[in-house]
Amino acid sequence: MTDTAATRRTPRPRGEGQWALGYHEPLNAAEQIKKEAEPLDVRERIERIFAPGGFRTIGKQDLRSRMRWWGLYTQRRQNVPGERTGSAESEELEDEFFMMRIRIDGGRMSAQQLRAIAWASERYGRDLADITDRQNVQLHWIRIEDVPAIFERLESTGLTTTEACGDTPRVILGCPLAGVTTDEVLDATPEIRAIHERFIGTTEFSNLPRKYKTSISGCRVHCTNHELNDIAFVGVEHPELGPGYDLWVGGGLSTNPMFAVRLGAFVAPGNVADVWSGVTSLFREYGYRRSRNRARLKFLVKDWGAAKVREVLETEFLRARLPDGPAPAPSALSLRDHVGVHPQKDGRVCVGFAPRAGRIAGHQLRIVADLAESCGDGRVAATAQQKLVILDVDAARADELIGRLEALDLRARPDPFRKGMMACTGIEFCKLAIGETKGRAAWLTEELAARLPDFDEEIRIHVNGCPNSCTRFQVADIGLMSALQVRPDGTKSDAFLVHLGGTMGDGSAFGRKAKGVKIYAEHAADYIEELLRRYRSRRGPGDTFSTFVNGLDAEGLSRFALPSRGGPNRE
Amino acid sequence: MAYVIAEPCIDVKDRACVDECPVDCIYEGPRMLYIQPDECVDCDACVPVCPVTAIFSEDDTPTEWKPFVEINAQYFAADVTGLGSPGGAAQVGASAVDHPTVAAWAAE
Repeated sequence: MTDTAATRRTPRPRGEGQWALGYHEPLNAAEQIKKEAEPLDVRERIERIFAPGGFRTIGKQDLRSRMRWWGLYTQRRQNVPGERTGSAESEELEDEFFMMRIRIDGGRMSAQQLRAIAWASERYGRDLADITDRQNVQLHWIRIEDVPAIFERLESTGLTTTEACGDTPRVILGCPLAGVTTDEVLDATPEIRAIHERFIGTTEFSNLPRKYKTSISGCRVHCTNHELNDIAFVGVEHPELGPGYDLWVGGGLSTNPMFAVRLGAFVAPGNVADVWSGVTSLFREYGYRRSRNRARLKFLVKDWGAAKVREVLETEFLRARLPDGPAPAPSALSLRDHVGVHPQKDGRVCVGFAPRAGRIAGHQLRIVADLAESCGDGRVAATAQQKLVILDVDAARADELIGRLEALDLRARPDPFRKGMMACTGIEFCKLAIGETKGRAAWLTEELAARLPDFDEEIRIHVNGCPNSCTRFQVADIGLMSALQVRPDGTKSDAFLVHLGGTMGDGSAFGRKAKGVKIYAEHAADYIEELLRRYRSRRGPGDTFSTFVNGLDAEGLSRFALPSRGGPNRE
Repeated sequence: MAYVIAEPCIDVKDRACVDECPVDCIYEGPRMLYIQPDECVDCDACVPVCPVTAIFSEDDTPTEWKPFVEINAQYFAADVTGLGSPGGAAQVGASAVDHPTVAAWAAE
């Protein structure tokens, strides 16, 4: 190397836009828009101007930013290919229809609430509804003209879209069986309700640096995946202080996945809302506001470490010390969900069931509401795995209910592929997507069940349309992530990159990328079938797919994951 | 908007980003890698894996390295490589030329 000093420059250290350090000038367009007008105030304009006046009356900043604070995104214009996702102008990519996200904190709904969602879907949303893996329901094809009527009906039942999207405290995850299951440390429902009532839709937390995801649960199988939330309260039994919560912060996936870390602090149930407010305030004041891709709480937590986060939380925001507390016991399940029949404390049962990769019809939801009333007390819950549960069913009527659900193609005794499959929205409606997901996941479910009828293990297959990981490809047994691949004739084709062996709980690890593997989307069933056959022929006693994969070294993983000659992706 | 590879990549060329890119839009020159801005889908997947923090979204590129926005774009133009938008780096392979500014960059 020649010595030519000063050719290499290190960029000047840049502030991260933290309010607490005096950076109040917006450093990016999203921050500027939030500063110019309170995002929550767009609600008034939606009802007074946009709905009566139509799509063209919506200002661009409201359309592309503030309307998210009320759960509204424009959906992707039909037939804009994945290769245009980055380069297309907003006008080319956005349709005049909206996705509407309805938040269901804790996942719990009454039959009346479920009917309101079904009504909106059937009447205004082309009979589509997606159960998301954050216990929301997403409607599509919503016209701005119809938004006020939908708001009115939803809100009359106690549902809301408030802060369902945007830089806000999003829907609070909770166990769908909270308060009824025989298998929980404690019931988190009061804590979830308290936070929702005190803080959601208030200007105190309507301008966070980025989205902010909460989980509060006493579920012993950890069905809300606390490790992947910005803030999580995980049910534990304190030896002296009794049942309460272990506090975790800084989880999230996307392109820079991180598991949340424990602060080692115990939070008594009555103190959860205040501690939540403290952590959320810390994020608001110290969170990074320069780059949107480094703004989630996880980046601050990574830079500071758990000890400093706890110190600043206690001294500046809570003005009190939290007691130390124990870690939660690990989940006994790798597929942390409540599909099937499970006992309730009151002797009745709940029945969890699986649509196809979260996609359900409005009219199906309406029938589910009827079934929940005729077979139980009308209570229904969404899970964080894109499934639904009907609560309060007399054990003697469970089989009858299961039969009726089967007739709707909703399976309470699903094959492993129906049970473990998830898919994000994908290119059908999402402006970030590279490829199609919901349809492929439904196809994969059917194909794999038909080709591998003897496969009797749990297997988590998560299909994602882009690296943002809405359906968590890094923690799946088999994570598919959309890509584009050029064919020999020069045309571009949907493809998938593959991640294998993601695990949570004891020895949690993100799935490893199968290096050099990119499969054409239409070969996904061939490829996964081949992988699962290989696994079944080579696994040791007691192995699961993820323990087997994680027992392979890099070279072994490569050999395991490469498609066979003449097999998938070889043209 | 697209992502941009800047100075830290010069003579490093780790290529971790190439494995990560879902649309194969990161092309290789003799001294650095370049992102084809029309093919980039803005997904951010390349950023966290870069060992030398060379990749930025266009609007977050540090002032000192703003010229690399143009350097990435011009690399594909007729007067540099003429690659245009081939639709994927794998079938193109490494190119024999760098952008002239990069080619003339003093070695460390």
